[in-house]
Amino acid sequence: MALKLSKSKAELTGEVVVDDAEALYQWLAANPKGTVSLGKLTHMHTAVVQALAAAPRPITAMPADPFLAECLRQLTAQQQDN
Amino acid sequence: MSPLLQQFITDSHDILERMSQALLALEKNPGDEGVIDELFRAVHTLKGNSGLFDIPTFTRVVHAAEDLLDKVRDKELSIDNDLTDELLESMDFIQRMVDMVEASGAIPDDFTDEADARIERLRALLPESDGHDLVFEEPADQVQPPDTLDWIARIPEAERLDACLASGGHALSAIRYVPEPECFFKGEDPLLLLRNLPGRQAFVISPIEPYSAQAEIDVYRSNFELQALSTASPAEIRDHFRYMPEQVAVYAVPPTALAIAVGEDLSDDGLRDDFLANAETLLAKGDVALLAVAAGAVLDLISPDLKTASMLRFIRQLALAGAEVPVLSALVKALATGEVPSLDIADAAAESLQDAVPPAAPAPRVKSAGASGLGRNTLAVQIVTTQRQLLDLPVPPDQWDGRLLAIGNTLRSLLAVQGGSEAVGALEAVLANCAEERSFLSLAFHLEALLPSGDDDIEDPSDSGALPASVAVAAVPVRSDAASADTLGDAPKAAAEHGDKSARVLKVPQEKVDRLMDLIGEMVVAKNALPYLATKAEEVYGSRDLAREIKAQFAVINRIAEDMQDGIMQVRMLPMSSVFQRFPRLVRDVARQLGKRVRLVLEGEEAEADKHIVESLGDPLIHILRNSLDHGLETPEARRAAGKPEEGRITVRASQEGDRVLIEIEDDGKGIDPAVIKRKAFEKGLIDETRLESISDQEAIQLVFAPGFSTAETVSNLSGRGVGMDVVKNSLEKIGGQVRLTSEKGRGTRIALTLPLSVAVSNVLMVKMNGQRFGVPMDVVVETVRVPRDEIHVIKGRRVSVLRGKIVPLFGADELLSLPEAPIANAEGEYAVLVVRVDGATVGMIVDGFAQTTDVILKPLEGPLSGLAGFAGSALLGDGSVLLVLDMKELMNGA
Repeated sequence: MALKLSKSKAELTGEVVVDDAEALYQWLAANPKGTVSLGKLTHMHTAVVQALAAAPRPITAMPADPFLAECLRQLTAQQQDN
Repeated sequence: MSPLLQQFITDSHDILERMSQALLALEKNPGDEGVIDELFRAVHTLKGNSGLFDIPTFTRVVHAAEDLLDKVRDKELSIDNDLTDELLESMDFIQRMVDMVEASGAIPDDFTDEADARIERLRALLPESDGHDLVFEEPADQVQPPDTLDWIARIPEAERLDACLASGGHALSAIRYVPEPECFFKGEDPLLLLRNLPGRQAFVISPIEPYSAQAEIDVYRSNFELQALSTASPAEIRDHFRYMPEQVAVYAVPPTALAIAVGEDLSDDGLRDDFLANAETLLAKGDVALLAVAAGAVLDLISPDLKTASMLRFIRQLALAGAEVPVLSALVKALATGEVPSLDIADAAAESLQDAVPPAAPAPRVKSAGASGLGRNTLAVQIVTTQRQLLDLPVPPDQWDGRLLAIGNTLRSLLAVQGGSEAVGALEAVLANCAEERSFLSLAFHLEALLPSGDDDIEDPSDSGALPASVAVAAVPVRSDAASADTLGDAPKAAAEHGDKSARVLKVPQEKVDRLMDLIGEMVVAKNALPYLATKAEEVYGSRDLAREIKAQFAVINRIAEDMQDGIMQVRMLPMSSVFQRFPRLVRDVARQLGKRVRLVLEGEEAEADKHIVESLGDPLIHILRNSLDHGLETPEARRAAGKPEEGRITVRASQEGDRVLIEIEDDGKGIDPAVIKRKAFEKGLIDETRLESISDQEAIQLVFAPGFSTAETVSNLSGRGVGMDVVKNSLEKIGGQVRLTSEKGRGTRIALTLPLSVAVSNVLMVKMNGQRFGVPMDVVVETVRVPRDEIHVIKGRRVSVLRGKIVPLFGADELLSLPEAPIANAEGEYAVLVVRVDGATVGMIVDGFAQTTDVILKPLEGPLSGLAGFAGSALLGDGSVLLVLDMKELMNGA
């Protein structure tokens, strides 16, 4: 399973598909203090990125993939600007 | 005539046909927007097509009609009878022009005046307020390039520097991609697209609505705007985004736009001024390499955090990348002023780079830069040329679809940038056509048209681009496609949507089908030789087992041959709708001309018959309809007086009855008065006095089919132009049809035609005479009887017999066929009599005996034999012998 949700941590690994976006967003909404770990992420669907952008949480491990890292950097940075 | 022109003509006929149907449908139901759209698309296609040929008169008239329909579409004008009349007449005129083009390849000058008058009249119908030109419409939801390049400033300097290097000093492609909110539901992943963007450099993702401002967020509604830089050509990028072209804007960004200096604006100890002085000299000399070195030297000396340093880095980077002098001068100037390289400069630079990368998307939509803009754009021309060459390369069948897809995608992206939406639309249509025909031909033509020729100066580029679109519009009204035939212009669209489905419809020249049918016919005959062989094996060689095996094999081959025959017949079948579709227009026009109100009811249009039959039906049916309208139906006043509804009704009904198709034309008009017919016939000498007295009403009515009979008092321009019902009857009989007319005075007339489903195979009864066999077509045979010698009476040298209470004249086959020996009776003294019905009369032919019935492929007699009267043709039998098939009608007439 690419999306692993525990009480305090959401772990995204491999390829996270569009269907997981809803679950992740629900989790993020329910766990305002949770953290997100993306260390082993290879790709996530745009909707998943959107969930993370909409409810930003501390990211304990950035994806190794430079493209994803850049996406998250931009989206979470903007959040702080706004 | 070039195949392209040929195709244009065929398609024009088709489009005009469907346009007239749509117009009629519209007249009945003026609010039907679907039909209006179809109509508009059709005329638009027609106009586009015509632009490829040197027929400006044609294009102008069509254009005027298009303008009018455009107003109708915009609801500024409503469809009424006058408008329909005008449009229908214009279409007739266009049709005549098409005919002229078909006949002579050009439109004669004398059409010009009429064309002008017609355009004048069409324009007169336009609403007064017309002032704006609607040459081009922007799709409302097309994403546009952003107004400013501010987003580039959000890219970190390091990435911008990388992009500068990658650009090689040339303009970069910039992309603004706004995925539609529902895109996730379509299986799209915008980020994946961005990730895989060819030549991707820096990119910027931003939410359209800040998330913090939204109370409730639906993660499945995309809220992103993506902007990116790429070194790939706009064509490649368009191809990449080929599934969502409207959500993407591609435009060029000059490298100077990336050089946005950031950093502290502190003193640099005059190093900047030194560099500036140095740079000016170097640029004057054009020494770009040295400029890079100079910039590098200064960079080593100053703090990298300075704004000056930032700009210097861009100068060095671009110099290293091999940028042109104007680009670098712009940067040096920016360094001097401390400002961002101004957009003016940027634009100037962009312009100088135009050859490399076409400008932003909206620009090419400017009319002057349409398809002919291709002529100036060498890159685009190269791409098109390459695709054109690809079309000529052989391609294995299993890769055919892929090849078409690939070429289509490339061109689509190119045209989206170069030619605007219209050109893309045209291309789509051509592609759909290609897929349908499984031939690259029309695409090749399309590309040839796009490529600049020596004297290429096309008047209206957008039109020339759109042109072969119409070519594709000729949705092949092949049988299985009947449904698509009623939706007019959008056939290609439908075809594109159901690409897989339509690709399975083949357009095959009729000759090929005919050849196949001939071969199958021979096969049928050849297999019929097997039973003879079986008999021979048993009787001559005495091998009963072998005979049985041959018979078993024959059963198998027979079944296959019959299936084959059935299959090929199905291929040739055409629905009646292909003839019926001509009727509504005809009926409407004639009715309006005569001041009658008529409702035409068409039924059973889906009934099918052989193509040859269906096609031969058209003219006779039109003649019958005209007769009904002219002579049958009364004027509204007369109808009211007779207590009937004012609106007359004509029903044309087709149905299948066994192996024949039945067509009934019924009207509720005044019917035929037998008394009038009798008198007329007598006056014209068609019947004599005795017959006048004895003839029954029902028989009298059939006299309308007699040659030289016409009841119209005055010759109107409708019916009664000397072509009578006899012609109708003859032409139907030629294809094996029969006509029956029934009428009730004051109530209406009904004409029933029965036709064979297929002409290829005839069922014949074989009769024996003088040891020879002859065939008689089964459809004239009434019965076969044995008549005892003493029941044959001779009256005035004529033999007759009484059969079933009727006197039937008998003819000896020996007399009819000039055979030496008279028919022989059997042991009981009975003669074999074949009773046939010819021209409504029952006659008997005495023969030696009857043989079996058989299916044969009837071939007309050819060469010196074709003059022989009394024979319908010859057929080959299974045993290799030739069977002469009799034409009973001709034989009896000769008797």
